[in-house]
Amino acid sequence: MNDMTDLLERASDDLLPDVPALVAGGIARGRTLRRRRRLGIAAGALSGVAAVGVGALLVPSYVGGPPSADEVPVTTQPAAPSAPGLPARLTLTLPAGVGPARVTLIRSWGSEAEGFRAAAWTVTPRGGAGAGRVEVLVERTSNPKAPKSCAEDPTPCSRRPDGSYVSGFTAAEPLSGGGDSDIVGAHTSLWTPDGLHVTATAYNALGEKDTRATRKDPVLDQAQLADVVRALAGR
Amino acid sequence: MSDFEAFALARAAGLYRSAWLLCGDHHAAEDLVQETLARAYSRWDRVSGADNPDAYVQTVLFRTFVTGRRRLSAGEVPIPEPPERAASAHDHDVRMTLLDALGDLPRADRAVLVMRYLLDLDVASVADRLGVSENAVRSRGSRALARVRERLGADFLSTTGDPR
Repeated sequence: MNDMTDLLERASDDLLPDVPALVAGGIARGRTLRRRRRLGIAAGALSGVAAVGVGALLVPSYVGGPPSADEVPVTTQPAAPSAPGLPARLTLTLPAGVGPARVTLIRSWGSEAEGFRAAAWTVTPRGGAGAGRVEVLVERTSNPKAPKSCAEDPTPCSRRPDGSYVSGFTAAEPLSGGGDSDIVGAHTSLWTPDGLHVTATAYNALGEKDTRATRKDPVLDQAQLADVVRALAGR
Repeated sequence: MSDFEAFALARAAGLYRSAWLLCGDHHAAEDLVQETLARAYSRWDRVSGADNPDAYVQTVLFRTFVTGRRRLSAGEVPIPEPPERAASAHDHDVRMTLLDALGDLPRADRAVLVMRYLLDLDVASVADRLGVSENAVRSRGSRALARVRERLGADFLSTTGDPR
């Protein structure tokens, strides 16, 4: 040990960070990253930017600067032959309690062959004010290390008798240039024991970014989104 | 408690310590740590399967800092200023002077100093984690050390040797 080591240690050894809060914040942001990666993958498939199979699509890419350790490409295993089928068509049925509203499909993408289907809608309450966007992604989870229980998913989570589980969180969306936006997203995911993953997101705006909030809270809350994902998974 | 949560709880304080020296203030440091943990969480299958998960998250933290790719409070969960144990006036002066000196260094030089002298990593390990050559680490380390020594003066550093 030399003086520089001693100096750095003296300068930092009495710091007492709020470790549980740091970890909770990291998990919340990590869930957003994970969801964006999945939805980004699906959106990339829609645009036809890369004419490759779903296995390759699941490998994230990084443009600009050196690769970081968390972005080392890996090979994704293909879905098992017994993997569940996807719904032929995604429909958004508003749960009870939402109130009168008009549901308008914005777009849908994905296919059975690609291993996922996704869709986005605008939900407009009667009167026209406070419309919000809802996005859904249904995919087969070909990753053998995907979370399989609440114990592996530390955000608020509930296990169902059929072995599936639902977890969710609500967070402000970041601005692309840094800082917080006034857009809030409610996110809910359902995992089934046979390898189906359904995730639904509702915003308090007509998009995730580059727009302004139309209402205080997302157009569907987490409990309502849980009904949506269960219906889409046939549970 | 999940495997990730247990892992993160055990490492967060150490990551914060490095982040605080790199960033020089609490809010930037907590943002960097949260971003690091977020990336680890989002790819936990890779991190948990890595030969050395500790090295993996350290690499993420330092590379995120050096490349300036963290999202700068985007989605950050605010945390109050951390409590600190009472420090002597001299230690407080040391801290402030050191942070000023580190803050004058380029990001990569700061990272080399913290990895070499706080984490006690050898040149090869630092080069591997930053993705640069060993010569670059030696060069940056030597330059950074000279600058800090000059800034701090003999009162703080009397016998610090050249980079190992």
